[in-house]
Amino acid sequence: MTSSFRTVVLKYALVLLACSIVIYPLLWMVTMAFKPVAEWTTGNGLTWFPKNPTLQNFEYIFFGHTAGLAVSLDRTVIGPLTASLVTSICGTVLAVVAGTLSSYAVVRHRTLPSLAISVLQLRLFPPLAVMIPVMVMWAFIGAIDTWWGLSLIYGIVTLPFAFWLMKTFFEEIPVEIEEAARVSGSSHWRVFYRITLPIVKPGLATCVLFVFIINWSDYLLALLLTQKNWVTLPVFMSTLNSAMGEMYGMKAALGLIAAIPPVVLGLLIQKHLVRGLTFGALKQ
Amino acid sequence: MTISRPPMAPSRRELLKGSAAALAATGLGGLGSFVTTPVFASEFAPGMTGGPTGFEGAERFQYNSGMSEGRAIEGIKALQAAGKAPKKLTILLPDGTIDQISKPFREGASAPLDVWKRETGIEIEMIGAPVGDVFKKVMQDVTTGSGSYDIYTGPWNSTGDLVASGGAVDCSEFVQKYQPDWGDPERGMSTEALVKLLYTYNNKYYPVALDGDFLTWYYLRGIYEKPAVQDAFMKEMGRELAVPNTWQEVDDISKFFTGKDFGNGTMYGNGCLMSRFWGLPTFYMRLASMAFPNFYFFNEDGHPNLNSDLGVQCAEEHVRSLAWSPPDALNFTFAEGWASMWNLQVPNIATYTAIAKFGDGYKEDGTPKSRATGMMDSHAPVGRRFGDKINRRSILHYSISGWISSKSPNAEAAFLFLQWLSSTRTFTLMMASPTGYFDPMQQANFREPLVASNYKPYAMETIPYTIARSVPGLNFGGQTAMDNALDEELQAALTGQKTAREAMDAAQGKWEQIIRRQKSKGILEAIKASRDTWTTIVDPA
Amino acid sequence: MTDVTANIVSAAPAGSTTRRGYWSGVARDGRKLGLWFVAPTLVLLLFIVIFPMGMQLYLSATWWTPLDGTPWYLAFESFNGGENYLRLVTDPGLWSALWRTVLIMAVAVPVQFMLGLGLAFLFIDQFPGRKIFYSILLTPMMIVPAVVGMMFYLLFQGTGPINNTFGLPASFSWLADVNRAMISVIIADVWQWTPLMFLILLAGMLGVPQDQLLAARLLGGSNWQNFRKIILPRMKPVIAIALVLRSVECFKIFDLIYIMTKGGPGVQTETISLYLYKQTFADLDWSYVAAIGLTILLVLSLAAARGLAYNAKKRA
Repeated sequence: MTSSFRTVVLKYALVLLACSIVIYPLLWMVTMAFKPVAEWTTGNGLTWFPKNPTLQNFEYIFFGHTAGLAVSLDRTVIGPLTASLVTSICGTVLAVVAGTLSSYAVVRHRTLPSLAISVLQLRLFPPLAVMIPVMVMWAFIGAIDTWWGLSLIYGIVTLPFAFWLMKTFFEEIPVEIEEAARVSGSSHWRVFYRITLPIVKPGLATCVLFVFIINWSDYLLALLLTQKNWVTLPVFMSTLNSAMGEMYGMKAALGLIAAIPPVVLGLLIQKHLVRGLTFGALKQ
Repeated sequence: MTISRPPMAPSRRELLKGSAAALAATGLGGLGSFVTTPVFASEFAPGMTGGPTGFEGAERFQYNSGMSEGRAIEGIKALQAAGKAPKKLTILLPDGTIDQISKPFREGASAPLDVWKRETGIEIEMIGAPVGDVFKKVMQDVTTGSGSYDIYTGPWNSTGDLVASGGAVDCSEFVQKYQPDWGDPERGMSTEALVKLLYTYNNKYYPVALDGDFLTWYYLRGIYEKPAVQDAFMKEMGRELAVPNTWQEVDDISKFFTGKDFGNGTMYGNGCLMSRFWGLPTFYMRLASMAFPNFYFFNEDGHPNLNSDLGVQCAEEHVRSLAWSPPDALNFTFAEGWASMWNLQVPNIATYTAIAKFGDGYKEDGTPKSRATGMMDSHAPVGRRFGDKINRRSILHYSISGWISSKSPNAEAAFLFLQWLSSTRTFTLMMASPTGYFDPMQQANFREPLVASNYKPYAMETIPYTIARSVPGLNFGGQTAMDNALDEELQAALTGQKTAREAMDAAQGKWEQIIRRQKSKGILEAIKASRDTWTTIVDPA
Repeated sequence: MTDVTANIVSAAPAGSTTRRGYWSGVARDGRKLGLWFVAPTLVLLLFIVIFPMGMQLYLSATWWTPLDGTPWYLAFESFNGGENYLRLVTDPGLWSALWRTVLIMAVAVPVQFMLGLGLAFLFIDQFPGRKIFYSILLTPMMIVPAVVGMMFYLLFQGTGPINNTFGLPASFSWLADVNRAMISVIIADVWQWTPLMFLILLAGMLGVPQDQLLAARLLGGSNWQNFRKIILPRMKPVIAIALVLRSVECFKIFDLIYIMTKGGPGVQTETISLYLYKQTFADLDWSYVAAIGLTILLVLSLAAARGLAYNAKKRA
């Protein structure tokens, strides 16, 4: 296991290079969020760190106006932030409940084994290839621009992740434990509810966070299925413009707000990311 | 093939400095505090019952029940008495227009929206969308039938598409009942034909015009008049540099300025927009003057004329003119286009008239709005010489209009709001705002000193002159698809993917296909009807 | 384990108070319970599969667009047989969008793979700071793709930091340039998704039994040879998974490009998803989009079925 000094240096150099490439764009966005208008572009010389750091950009998106700018916002970030939270959470609950139940049935009771592949196929198609019927249907049931309409589609599109992730957790539980409980007279439901669920609790938590991240990251579905009341954070960010020119600082501030929850949660469940992202094909 | 450009110049940097400056211009200075504003009587002038107060000259915007705005307010009150008025109306707007409605044009004055709320008590919920995407949002609402809005706004051109989809309400009955002053011989649009063009579709009142996007030419008089510029032009072109009258002269001037530095940094000759969506009217404008008195986009049978020799020639000229545009011109929105003039990078531009409002003149702290302050001027539209005549042509393209959503349960109240907003007094008041995209087109607008100080006195005659010489862009059902098809082919030609002829052939094919498929829906009749609205005014050369 | 045992005991029915309703029957019948358990998933699947597919098939055989002003179920009025499908075959816009999508896949995925593999190789052994570097390297893939698009939009402005860092003039445009727009988009995609490759490949490498690694080292091969002869062959399934996952996602790419370039300049970065979006909302050509959508679904399903069959055959 001996590595020469040179290879160690080389290794660190490469790792540091990779890390700086990762940080480079992030840093620009983060500092941009704290820059006043005059420093948004490099017209007056490029500054990586704000010379006059300000919270003006955040003030603008949270309150709709700020001292420096006469242009005001027709809606603040509060609405989109709420919309993102509500729809991501509800969509997650839907996906995780449906996914947990059905994957358990498939694993333990061998109900509809082909379900696994059918569910997976949902992830295969470009959403825009099926959006026209979905929009017509959502319009028909009055689900356009509602919290439940968006939650419903979120629940559906993240179902494959929930299903496959939970499937691997259930498969890890030795069947003997459940059999022991059956022998002592418990019904299948009680076994599931009192024995299996408590055992997979950590897995379930991982699954919830993972699915939440996927929902939170959506842009396209919210773009197509909302109008004004339930516009989510990424859509709001991309449509943020003023009468004149780009609002770089405000967009960066919004981007920062949108980026933080998934990064924090993602690092929290780092151990299980591989499993989630590969639909359980790989474990770490 | 890549687009040949003049040797590198520090242009984009300058440009974006301008962009930020533009934002600052509209933002930082636009509505600063007016410490010295005297207090004006908050009562109405004798005989008036409503309208704005709180500034000198407010009486010019006040009204009574005998006037268009007053009739709208009375109408609301009648609806309220009958219990048929809503508490709130929701309107979808390009986000750059909201401040024009909701903010006073100066401290102390009433904002248009406050006047409305004071007089009717009805809330107006304004939802903004990017100006380039607003019609997509409209169609999204129509197709999903979600009925999120009472009033849509969007490009005038798209009226046909919206009507075809059943998304808009025919307001003829309301127009009959409440008599808006859109066609008032003194204050409204100057001719019957213009009223018809802007406020009707298929002889029914669907759109309510809130804007006047008749592309108008602006130029840098301050640069034109420099002796060094004059001398150089004389030497190179053998004639005096003057305001262009024809496209040939425009191209000569573009070619002359490109790559030269007259002490303001390197210049580019062609300021007209060339990018996707925003650059399309530039082409239409050039195309309309290819023949005398007009080059119609369709012949008398409704067959497209795009790949005729003249159509191809026009496309070739259009593509050639890109060589004289600033770098990144293919990605410009109108804002960057304006900024290139404000930074003295381009000598000419045909654009929306708000360019003068945002970039010429002084902010309230006394600093100039841009480097072009005091140097800008406007000129007549250009055309082509046919014997001793010139067919000067501009184009009506985009031009924000309002429609009542057919899903709105409050169509009448929504119409009354639009009537009130678009009537000559309120509309003129909006034109006094230093911000916003709604631009003037009514006769009363051009006579108002506050509008003139905003849009500049030099444009007060040019704009009506341009309006009279403008032809309409496509505005019948299928328009969006046709404009997109042509736009895409032009972009392919501009980026060197296709030759001009290939692009025009392809666009012709797509237009024919769209027409063939829409034949049963009366597209041919609509095309022919549109031909009849074209002006035939020509001027002596 | 004591926990579980306790649970088993407590899970036992308390006495004979068990109700004898339908639900208690379900609770005791594994088959019935299983059916009830998959029911929600089935409903969701039917909701998004059966009706949409039927409707798409129906619309794709007509000329209906929302511009007709008639509801979609009256689309049969403009029945046109297979014309939309005929048009699809000869639509240069569609084929060039498909070509650009494939181009992005063909460049971005291998680059991500190579970079991810290299990084994973660096992370096989423990070294001080490994955990922190690992976390930093994973960050990009957790960021909302729309935000990544916005970030790179800022970076690639003429006056942005990229030109500044590399000493390029402000007039050196990225997103407005015919060729560089595509490169910019690919760079952004590589930035965001190389970490996923890294994550998966590293997990695969660490899954290779330690004793084999050790044996290889004892035999005295160089690191690279170890890697090539012992690790790489054992990673084949993992590599396949990583490549398939990324390719599928890359084929669907929308958010990033829509925010960075909207498909421009011209149609230089218009992928299949952006093309569909444009046809749906700009041209409102819904019956045609239905035809394209259905064709894509069909082709992808066939490809997936073949892939699965191939996989099964190989395992057998």
